[in-house]
Amino acid sequence: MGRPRTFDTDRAVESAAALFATHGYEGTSVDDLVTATGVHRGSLYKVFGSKRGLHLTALRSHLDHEIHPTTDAIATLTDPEQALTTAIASYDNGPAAGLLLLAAAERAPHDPEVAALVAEGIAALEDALRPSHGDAAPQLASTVLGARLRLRASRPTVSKEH
Amino acid sequence: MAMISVDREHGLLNVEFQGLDKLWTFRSRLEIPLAHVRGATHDPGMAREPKGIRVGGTHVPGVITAGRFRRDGERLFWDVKNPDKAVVVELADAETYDRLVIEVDDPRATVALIEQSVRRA
Repeated sequence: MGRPRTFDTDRAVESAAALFATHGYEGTSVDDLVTATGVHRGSLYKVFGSKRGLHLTALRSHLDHEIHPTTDAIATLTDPEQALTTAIASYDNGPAAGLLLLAAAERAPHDPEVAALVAEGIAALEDALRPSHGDAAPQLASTVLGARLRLRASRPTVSKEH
Repeated sequence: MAMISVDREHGLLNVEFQGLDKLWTFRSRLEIPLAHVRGATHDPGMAREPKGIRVGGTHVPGVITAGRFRRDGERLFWDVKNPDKAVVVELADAETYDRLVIEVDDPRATVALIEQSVRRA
């Protein structure tokens, strides 16, 4: 029943991920999502069930298309210095840069499904640093997360919406 | 305004319309199997969407939207006076309604309650 799906789900998820990464989960309204994705409100609900459903899909997609490919690349580096700088420059980056970090701070404490996805992303980072840093990998992963947070705080992006 | 509660024992989402809202909606309650509930969202902007055709209920634009509506082939059930407190509950195809738009006292708590009860594929 209802309107046939006439939009590209992957592109809608991409736009939503970028929006969540910029404004956070609470800071992103359904109005914002409708505007950014260009998808009818009814279709968004039909496909994702809820704003939380869309956020979880966006986070899953960010892990699959951004976090895991990046950590796979870091895992091939054996030079400790190079692995660390590459991780700081490229982890949780891409079109929805910071989505994982923001979800960790904002949603994970209240939402076990978000917490599980965040844990998956952090475990991937630890594993990627193991070839270069061995047992110090978890500590270095924390350094990478901290450095990403400081980078985000020191580079305010000018709002592009209006 | 309506009270939304979850009956885990019977696996049901209960929507109880309060006071005069029973009159406006022509309903005192809706019972929906939790397995047919796909999610809930606090969505104040939903009230600005075109309502479509009223099938049964009450519609005074800007004042109250209550009862059964049809739009783009979808069946919606509304009970909203204050859009700021509107929660959208998305239902599975097997249900009579595609979507409920219900005003509740505490949208944040209602959304959390429903989302915790929803199993995602």
